[in-house]
Amino acid sequence: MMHSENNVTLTGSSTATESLIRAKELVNQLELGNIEQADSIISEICKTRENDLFQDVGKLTRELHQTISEFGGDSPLNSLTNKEVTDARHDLKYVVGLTEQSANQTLGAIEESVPLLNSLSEHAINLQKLLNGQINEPTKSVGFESIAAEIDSYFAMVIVETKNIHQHMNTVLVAQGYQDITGQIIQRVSTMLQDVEQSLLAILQVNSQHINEDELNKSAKNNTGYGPSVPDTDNADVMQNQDDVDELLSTLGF
Amino acid sequence: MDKNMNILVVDDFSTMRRIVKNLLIEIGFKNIAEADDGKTALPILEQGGIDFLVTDWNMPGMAGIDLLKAVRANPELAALPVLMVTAEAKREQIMEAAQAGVNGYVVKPFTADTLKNKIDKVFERVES
Repeated sequence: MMHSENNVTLTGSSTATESLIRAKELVNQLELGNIEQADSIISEICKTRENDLFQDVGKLTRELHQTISEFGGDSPLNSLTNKEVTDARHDLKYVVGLTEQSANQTLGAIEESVPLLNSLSEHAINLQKLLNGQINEPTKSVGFESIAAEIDSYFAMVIVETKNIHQHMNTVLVAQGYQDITGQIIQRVSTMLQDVEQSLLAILQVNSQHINEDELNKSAKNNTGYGPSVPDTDNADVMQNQDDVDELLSTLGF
Repeated sequence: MDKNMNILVVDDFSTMRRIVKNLLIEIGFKNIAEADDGKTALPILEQGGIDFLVTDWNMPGMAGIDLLKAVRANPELAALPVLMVTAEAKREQIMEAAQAGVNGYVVKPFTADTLKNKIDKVFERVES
């Protein structure tokens, strides 16, 4: 599939000396007033040029035809675009779903756990107050027996609620299982993208001289945003972390 | 800083809204409303009563930067403190947000401490 070794170039076969000889002869005939001779030299030059051009166009057409038929048949790019890219799209959709599900499970478990922890803490603070009151000002206290009963019910509460919190922690634990699955899927998609990249590079190499660099490098400004940047991608325009952002903002007077 | 203030959290991802909301509750805030992009946020802001806006940048419908500009262009809302919490981290974007009048800028992924620090800073400056 690689044709880089026989790239088509539109160069004529006639050499500079040949052209010079013809040109001198043309001038010579014109000076002598031999219009017919001069005309025949001109058409001879044109014919050579045409032959060169036809040869080059023919070669180019053959190359293109070969490339297209290779890609059209059982080429990797064909199966990549037909099946694997579609599969990858489904795979990535699944990744989005899995990560969302996991985040929701984790957030749910946390939202259920926090009030339990708060209530345990509040009860403990109240009990501590009661107990301190009993020790420091026994006459004003509700009495030790009453405090003992409170402590007993608190222990019962701790036993039940820590079990509940433990269950929520297990939910968080299990929810992290998404990483294994999404990691494998993303790796698979990444390998597929590498194959596509290589196939596209092969096309680029065949047709390199017909591609306008500016077109390739063109990138539009996007007001809705670019999405997350990935750390260590070596782009000076992108802040790598909050410290970078803070530094930039401080230069702007923040 | 009044912990009873009304905060509007704008993000198109419900999980991110939940995370921000939980962190705000953790800091001590109680009144937190949500919107999923600038288009749904703007009418809520225009109704009045929101004291602090926390918004993402990259959202369908109306992006956070456009929401910020709309807020600053509205005399009723122009003084509203705005914190951007976003994955957008290009130099030009941060400069654009600063020029548009953002009060603070947090890049995702962020920690609970970062969010708290930036909110503290926003209100230090607003109240001084």
